[in-house]
Amino acid sequence: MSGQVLTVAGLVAGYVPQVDILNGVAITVAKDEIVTVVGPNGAGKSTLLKALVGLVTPKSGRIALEDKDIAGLAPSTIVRQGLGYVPQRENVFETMPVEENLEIGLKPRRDLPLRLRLEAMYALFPRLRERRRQMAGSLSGGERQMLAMARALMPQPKVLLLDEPTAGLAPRFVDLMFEQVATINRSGVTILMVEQNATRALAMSHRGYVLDLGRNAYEGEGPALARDPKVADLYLGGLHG
Amino acid sequence: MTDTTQTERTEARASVLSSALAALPRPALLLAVLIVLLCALVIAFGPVRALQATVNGFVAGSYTGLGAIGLTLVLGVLKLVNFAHGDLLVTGAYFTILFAWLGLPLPLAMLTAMLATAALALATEKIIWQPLRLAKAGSLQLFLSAIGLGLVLRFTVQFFAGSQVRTLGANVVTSIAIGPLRLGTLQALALVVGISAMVIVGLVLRFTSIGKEMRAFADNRALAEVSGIDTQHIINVTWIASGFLAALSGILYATAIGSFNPNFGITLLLSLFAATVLGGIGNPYGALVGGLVIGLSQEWSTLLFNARWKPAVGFALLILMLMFMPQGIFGRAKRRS
Amino acid sequence: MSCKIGRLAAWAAVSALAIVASAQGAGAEPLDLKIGALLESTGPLSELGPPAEKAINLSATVANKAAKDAGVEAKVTIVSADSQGDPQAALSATRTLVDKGASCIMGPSTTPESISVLNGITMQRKITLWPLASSTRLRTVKDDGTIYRPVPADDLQSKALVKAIENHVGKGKAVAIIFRNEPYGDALSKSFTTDWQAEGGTISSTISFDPQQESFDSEAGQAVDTNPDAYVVIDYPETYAKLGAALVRTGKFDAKKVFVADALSFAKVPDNIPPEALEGAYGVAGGSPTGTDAFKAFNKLWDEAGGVANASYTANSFDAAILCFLSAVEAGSTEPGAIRDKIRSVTKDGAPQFTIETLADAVKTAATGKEIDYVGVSGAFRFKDNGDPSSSLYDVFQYQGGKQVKIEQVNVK
Ligand SMILES: Nc1ncnc2c1ncn2[C@@H]1O[C@H](COP(=O)(O)OP(=O)(O)OP(=O)(O)O)[C@@H](O)[C@H]1O
Ligand SMILES: [Mg+2]
Repeated sequence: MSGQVLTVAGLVAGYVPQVDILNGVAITVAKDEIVTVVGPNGAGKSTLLKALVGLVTPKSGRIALEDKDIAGLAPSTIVRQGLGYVPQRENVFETMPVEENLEIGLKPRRDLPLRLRLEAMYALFPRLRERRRQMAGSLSGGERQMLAMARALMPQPKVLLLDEPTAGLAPRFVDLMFEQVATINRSGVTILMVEQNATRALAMSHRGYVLDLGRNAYEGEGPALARDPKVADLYLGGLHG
Repeated sequence: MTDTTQTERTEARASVLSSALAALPRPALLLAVLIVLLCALVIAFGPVRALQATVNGFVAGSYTGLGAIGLTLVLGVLKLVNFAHGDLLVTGAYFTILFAWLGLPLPLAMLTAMLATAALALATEKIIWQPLRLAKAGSLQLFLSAIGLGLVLRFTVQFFAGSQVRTLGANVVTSIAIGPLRLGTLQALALVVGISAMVIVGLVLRFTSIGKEMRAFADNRALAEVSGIDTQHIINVTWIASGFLAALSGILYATAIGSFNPNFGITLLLSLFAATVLGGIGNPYGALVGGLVIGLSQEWSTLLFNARWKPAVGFALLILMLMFMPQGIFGRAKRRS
Repeated sequence: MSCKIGRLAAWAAVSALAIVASAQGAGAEPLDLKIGALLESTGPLSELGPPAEKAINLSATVANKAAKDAGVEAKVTIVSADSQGDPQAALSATRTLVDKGASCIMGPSTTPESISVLNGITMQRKITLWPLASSTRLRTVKDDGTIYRPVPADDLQSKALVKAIENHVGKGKAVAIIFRNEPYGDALSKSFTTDWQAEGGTISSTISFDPQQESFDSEAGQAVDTNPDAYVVIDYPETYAKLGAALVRTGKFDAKKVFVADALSFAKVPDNIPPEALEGAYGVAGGSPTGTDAFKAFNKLWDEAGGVANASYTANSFDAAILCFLSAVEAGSTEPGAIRDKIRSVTKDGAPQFTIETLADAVKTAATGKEIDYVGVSGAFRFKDNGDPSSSLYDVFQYQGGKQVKIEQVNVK
């Protein structure tokens, strides 16, 4: 593996001035890795991803995408630098058809040909091709998640941030989703993922971090972390969920 | 396993079906109801009276419908209940008077007035709305600020132009005869411009890049931001478009009606909101169709009741229709998962 | 017992002193009378504002000159405010006037405004109100004798309309009535219907409209559809600009069949009303006896002063302000209640008569406390108990080339 694509150090951030949700998080993601962040509910996992993409403004700390500092930039600027983000909830434009969702996704990279990118996404998620004219609001949960990922992948991001891609999915779709994450990764996209389905997610990740109360609690190789009894003890519910 | 698949499929199919039901038939249903009503009126009152009332309804509807297009944009995209919109119409009409007084020929004065009003709308974004947004003002604060802005605009116009009745001097008495039916020439113009504006705005929203970005922004602001859309740009464009459309409809209204004073905006505002809500917030077709439905119901009602009741009948019908379609004619319910 | 008598005596002495003091005050102190003018400067009747303002200002000039000639120390100043054709605005405008010391209020032009001003302020303070509004409703409101109306009420105007139509269209014809749905239009249309039918005429349609609407094409269509012999239009200029245009657009409208009520009486048709909507139209408005010296003198004054052209009811506004002035002189006081109590003493049937030409003599006589009879430009004032005039002379006019031409006068009871 070559150099770090994403480096986060000493990150402090929160929603209101007095309350910090993240208290010095440090994370690195190397090129072509799958890195998973797990932790109990309310640990600040979603907040971390929001801070990376600029939806929450960091108070202090460093966020570097390759060698560019992106901390404090506007979300639209950050995604143009090569970060893709799939939110946990409300992650598609419900009143727009599938294909327009994808078209909007390409905004950060006006230089890429739309047709080619659409074809690539339909190849990756054939289900979406069938539904291309359908309103995103009427998609099933699994289809929505696919659309949300495809939208974020349209501009060929260097790093894809996924916030709980399997949340609320039927078991059959959970398998499919993890398979697809692996496929995307193999196609050359670095992935930073937050997951409730911790055992499964860590098992397929190169490395993992355990977050608690806005701080790094543990980190290590993905499968090893998944088997670590200390982690299991601490986050029993999460790990066996 | 098969069970789940089955459920998934039925669910998917059901959702497709319900969305088709929800999206398609409301306008069609409405059209059918309107046609049935028209036939009934033709039978009861003869074709000439019924059709003349229909023509008048289209004219009345085009005044409100056109004015509502800019309003529905701001409401739909920026989620702002812009109580100052009626006064932007007024500003457009009075800018025309100002520029004509400064010596511009009337058509040029009108165009300049539209641009000036668009600039004014953008200025309100920079001076009022952007700072309020950054200060995380709630919707009540925004609403009150809009009322205040409306008052400021109205009184500024009154201060410089006085509140006496004005006219743009167009000939409002010529009319076009279609068989036994009559349609004022300027009224026909208002109708044509109204429909054109609706179609243009509709096409821009549907097909252009900025239009798609506006719809995406209206749908989900945070997601639009992380999809790389420059949100401040969208907000600016929405204000410019809204100001331009407001001035266009204000000028057209002032021209076709023939006489006006600085209060015409606030008088019209209720109808503008009614058209917006009935049509489905954020939808330019909805705004115009909403306006036309209100106009038609009011003018048709004059066949049945004394004309003094027509506003009451129009708004009673509005409430009734909203009971059956709370999302409006073209509105779509947002599905929450 | 003796104690009681003592107290009574003391009271009597004090009151006697007070009376003497006030009588002396009347002789010695110069009168500084302020007349409040509620003007329709803006709003739906804004055409009426400027002529009324000029009339009232003229009355101050004339009154001040008369006082000087008579050697009576009295001065009249006009304070004015915009009533905007709106009851709420009229009330706050009146407050301003009263704060500025107005002793009489030259009234607003609509009934809702008059009632709002009356109930809100003038009745309680015994300030006389001189409304130009003509609805019959003002006749029956409780006013404690503060309303004096210098114009005849609409039941008389309705009879004038009947006569005008009979004279220019004929008896027993079919008439369509179009009126704005407000007290003025509502009441006048009802009395016209009764009066016209009593004379054997028919009403082909009665159309009322909401003045807040933007288009009146359906209303116009309904009116012309019945193909009437005449139209009675009871409207304000602001809405008639739209309604008139709609009537012309029907293509079946003949403005020469139109008879407008007094709110549409102007010296010159305003710019915003399409000329075709009023050209050749007839109308009625309260008139002044023409041919009198007072009438000629007033017109001369008007023309010499320059400014806006003469219009209906200017003589009435002028006379009302003069009556307020004379009553103040007669009372020797600018106290509103005292003025109210003297109105009938300066319009006394049988007392020596004066006109604007002999106003100095009127002032001299009134200053001595003797009763007089001021015969105004608009005629003699015989106020009934309810404050309405019994005078009922109407001008019938026609719009010719955009200008009002008086063609006859009708007397109605
Ligand atoms: N928009 C917001 N405004 C204020 N506080 C917020 C907001 N969003 C989240 N929080 C708070 O921040 C803390 C961390 O939330 P976050 O969503 O990052 O947790 P999480 O680790 O993603 O949890 P989960 O596993 O439930 O998704 C929580 O206490 C939450 O209440
Ligand atoms: Mg979360």
